[in-house]
Amino acid sequence: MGLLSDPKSRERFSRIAAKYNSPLCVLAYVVGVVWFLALAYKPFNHRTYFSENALLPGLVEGKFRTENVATRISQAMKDIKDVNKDGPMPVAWIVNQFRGLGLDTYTQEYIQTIPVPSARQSEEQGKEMFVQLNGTNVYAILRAPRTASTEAIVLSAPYKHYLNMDHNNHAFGLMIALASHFRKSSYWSKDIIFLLVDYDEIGMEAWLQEYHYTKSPLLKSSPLHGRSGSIQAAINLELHSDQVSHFNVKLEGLNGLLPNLDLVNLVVQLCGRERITVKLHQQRDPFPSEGWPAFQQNLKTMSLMMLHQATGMPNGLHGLFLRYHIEAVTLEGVLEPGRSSTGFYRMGRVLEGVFRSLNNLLERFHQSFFFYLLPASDRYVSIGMYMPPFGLILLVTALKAIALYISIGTPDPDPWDGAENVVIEHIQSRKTGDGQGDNTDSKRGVTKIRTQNYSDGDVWSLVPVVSCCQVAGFIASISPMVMTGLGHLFGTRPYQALITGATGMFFASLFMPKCITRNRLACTVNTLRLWKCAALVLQAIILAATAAANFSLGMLLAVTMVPVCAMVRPGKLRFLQAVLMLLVSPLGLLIIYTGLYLLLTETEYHGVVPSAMHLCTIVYYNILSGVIHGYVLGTWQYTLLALAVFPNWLFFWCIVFKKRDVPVVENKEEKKTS
Amino acid sequence: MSAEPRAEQRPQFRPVPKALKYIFGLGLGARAVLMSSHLAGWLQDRLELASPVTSWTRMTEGLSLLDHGISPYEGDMFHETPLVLMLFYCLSKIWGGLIPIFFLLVDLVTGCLVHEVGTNVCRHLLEKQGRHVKSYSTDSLSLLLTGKQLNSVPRLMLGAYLLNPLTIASCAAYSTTGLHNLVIAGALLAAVQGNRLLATLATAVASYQCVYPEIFIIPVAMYIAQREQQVNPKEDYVTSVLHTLLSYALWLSSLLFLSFLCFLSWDFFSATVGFVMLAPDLTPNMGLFWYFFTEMFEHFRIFFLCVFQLNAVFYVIPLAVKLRDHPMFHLHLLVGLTAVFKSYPTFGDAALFLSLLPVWGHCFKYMRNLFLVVCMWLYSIVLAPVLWHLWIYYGSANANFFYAVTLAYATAQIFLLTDLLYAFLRREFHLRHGPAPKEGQGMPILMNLK
Repeated sequence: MGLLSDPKSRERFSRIAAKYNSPLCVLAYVVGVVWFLALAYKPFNHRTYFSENALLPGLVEGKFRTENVATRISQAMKDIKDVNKDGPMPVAWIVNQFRGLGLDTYTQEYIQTIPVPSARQSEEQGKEMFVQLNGTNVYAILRAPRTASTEAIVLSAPYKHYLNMDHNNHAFGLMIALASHFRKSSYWSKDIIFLLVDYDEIGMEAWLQEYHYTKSPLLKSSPLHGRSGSIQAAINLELHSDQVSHFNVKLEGLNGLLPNLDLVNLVVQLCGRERITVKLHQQRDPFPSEGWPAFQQNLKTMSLMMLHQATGMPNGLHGLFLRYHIEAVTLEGVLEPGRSSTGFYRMGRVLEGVFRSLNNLLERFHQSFFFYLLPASDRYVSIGMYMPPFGLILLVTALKAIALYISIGTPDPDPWDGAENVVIEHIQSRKTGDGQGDNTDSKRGVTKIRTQNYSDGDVWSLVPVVSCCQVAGFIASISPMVMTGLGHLFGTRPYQALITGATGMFFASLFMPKCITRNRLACTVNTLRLWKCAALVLQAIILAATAAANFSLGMLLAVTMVPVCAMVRPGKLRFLQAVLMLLVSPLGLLIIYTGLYLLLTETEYHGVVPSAMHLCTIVYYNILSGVIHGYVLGTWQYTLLALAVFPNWLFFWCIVFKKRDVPVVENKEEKKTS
Repeated sequence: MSAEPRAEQRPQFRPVPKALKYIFGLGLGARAVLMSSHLAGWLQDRLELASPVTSWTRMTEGLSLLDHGISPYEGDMFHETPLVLMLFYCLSKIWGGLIPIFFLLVDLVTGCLVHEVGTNVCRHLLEKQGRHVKSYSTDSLSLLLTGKQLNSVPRLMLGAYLLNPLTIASCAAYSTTGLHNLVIAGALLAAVQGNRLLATLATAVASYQCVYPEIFIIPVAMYIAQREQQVNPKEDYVTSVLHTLLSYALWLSSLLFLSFLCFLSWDFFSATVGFVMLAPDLTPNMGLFWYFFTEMFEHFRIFFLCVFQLNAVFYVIPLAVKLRDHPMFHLHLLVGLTAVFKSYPTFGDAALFLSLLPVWGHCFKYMRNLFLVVCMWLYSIVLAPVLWHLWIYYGSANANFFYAVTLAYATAQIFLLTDLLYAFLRREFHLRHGPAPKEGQGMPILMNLK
């Protein structure tokens, strides 16, 4: 505790922190970013390994031979769909398929009230979705012969309502084939639930809510008549064709949750054994695995994972399981033209292996990592490795805040030329002398005393600013729904109303500094230092809390916001600062990161204007789905941005435009004229 | 010599009643809005706001057990005191809607009491300064308290209590922490007014209700004895202290006897005092006990229980020696100390200590870790729910994450306490030796706390 109690070492520390502040900040930031990027490089990350020995994936011998069932069923389902293109899911037919195998089969109907039309689904479907959505889930339970239904594993597949694409009939075919194979075996010690979900996430959410007896006001569903025990793990299957060239493993779940790394390892390992390529975000593992190109590839995979995770939206149905503490992944079978492909036989063997390994589990997944990033399917970066660079980046904020705090109350002209300090003090004392200087009467006594000793920053001036920013954030968080309601009255299209609501407050609050400047807050240099210090402290807290819950979001925010926010200062180069600040505003960041995502994924380039148009469309849909997912599935990313990040950003924005005490400027002009 | 005329013209202290109605309005409004919103149910089960002792869920359990004619203290569910249980029983029998109103009133009254504590302590400080001003260094005039400086203190304290988000949330969660704060604030007020019977009664009520305030009696006794000596220098110090202790013991035993009469059994004693002392419930909370005692081998339990409980109360002795001339400051420090080291702390406990801080605002300029403390405090308050959620609901984090936050929270409070103590002592030093005392060689001396 030397630093806390010994005044000498304290003084030394504060002198170093103040004197070498900018170099230290630059150093911390650069080292943090480089270190973080380097984690994607092979020597700096680790090879994945099995922590949970009970899985025993090596002991499984594949016996799956019913691939012809899969082909038959998927073709039959396709035929049904072809007859009735626009129709609902063929529930009766599906139930018959399951019943034919002798499984306990049940259906569940649900009605979801969507506050506004769902963007993503209407895009997929090519028509407007309505406010109410009906669907029916079908599920069948294979009762474990060895135990009394206390535990279960889920194999799920969504039934997609595409007009001109496959609706995941291959996955259903494979599911039936696996069911017919599994029911012949006697070694199951966990129930297996086969679940076919109507509409993507909403159907899954309805089923999970009902299974766990949780309720949401917008989603009404019929009770489940058949149940099993607590679900240990789930595999979600999406197959685009009957022949696949690789499995794309999707991990990122709701609110940035990730499944236990052991489950991911299991899938990757078993795919490797059946010689099916595994990709993450459609990115192949680099070969050779060392060298510059490999690093680039790893970095790309890791960035894509982070960009996905940061959105907080699940990229497959598995994402909803994670909220209920059920480990789950989505296997997406993709056929890439020109690559060797495999059929149902090998896919079936992979899934058989996965389920038999899961069957061996003795306790819930708890051994391996829950917080990780994957630069390749067999390499991982754990929380212990990525937190230090993140900490370094936050250190920039902390160092700046400390330096500003130290500089408050000293006449030292170090940050933000305090040469005016003397003048201000003079004026301040004169002003308080005749009682005009105070913004509020109640603080008169306090301010008067403060002006005597070097006009400490006025702590009370923080209250109106912070509360104004928070109110703006609160309005931004509720305005999409309010605007949709209002738009309904005036006949505006719901999308437009929603977007206006989500971004309107942002644009409106850009003018907030004007309002605050007009209000005559006594704003000395020290007060402004205090403002910025408080803003930095708040920022560090917000970023740290965000990173704890959703690391990628925290990291992406920190990397961009921290340097700009640490640099802003009132007064000089206002235009440049404003441009930079706009870039790191929540909306600016969304555009930047969407652009980055497109840059990493899109292969062809159409020219500036079409690309920009494309970018705008994607950003538009991202905002829409962010808001709507918040209401339908309970993602908190939009709320977080509106209630925490945006007010904090607005605080910095006010600091940029905050004029120092008006009388000081007048005084200076007087001096110049005289 | 120059201090002489200053002593004659005593600084006038008139608390400004301005803006009080806004503070009351805003505080009550925020509480009422939060209580009626859908967040109230969620808040009730927040471990940061409701401990096993103060949780409203357990109170309803106790009420319904009482309704069915079963003693609430027989099981391991209910740990509030019998008198409070009876109070709520009457309220719920008269009209269920009285309960939220009651919680609002409790916070309102606590706010008023805190305001009065501020007024009285400020008067006491000025009076004391007037008595001692002759012994102060002539250079340290700038350090002396002025009435003007203190005028806004009671109002600040009221604001710090009523507008503190922690007390607002804790009130909306129907946590009986509000009631605990009420009795402690009452004890502080009665103590500073110096009436022996009233002070001991209030301290007895506080110790009956929250157990730990029993150590308050030491500074209270010292304060009363000092006051009596001022009035009548012939009064014996020790006799006065013994009188106070005796009166306290009488009040406390009569309270306990009253509780005995409620159920005609002593079961409640082990369920309330015993529960707080033995800390058998290891559900995570913001305190320091649960993690240690879940990790520990069972045969060390008694030993460490003694260590932890002694840690909570032991500081009263060294502080009584060091701060023998400043029992009021001692008393306020003890409020903070028990809020950190008690077995089932909540945010509400710390909030009461925070609202007492403005009285000692004149020491703040000697504090050295204020920035650090504020940052740590904010961090732990924001991160605690986040990590709790990750641990309990998502299952991705674990107990260590949450415990790290509770450690940071406790450390922040301990820093605040030690820093305040240091600042107070340093100000006293400067009062006697001038604001910039020189060493023999004329070098400015360095203060060091080792």
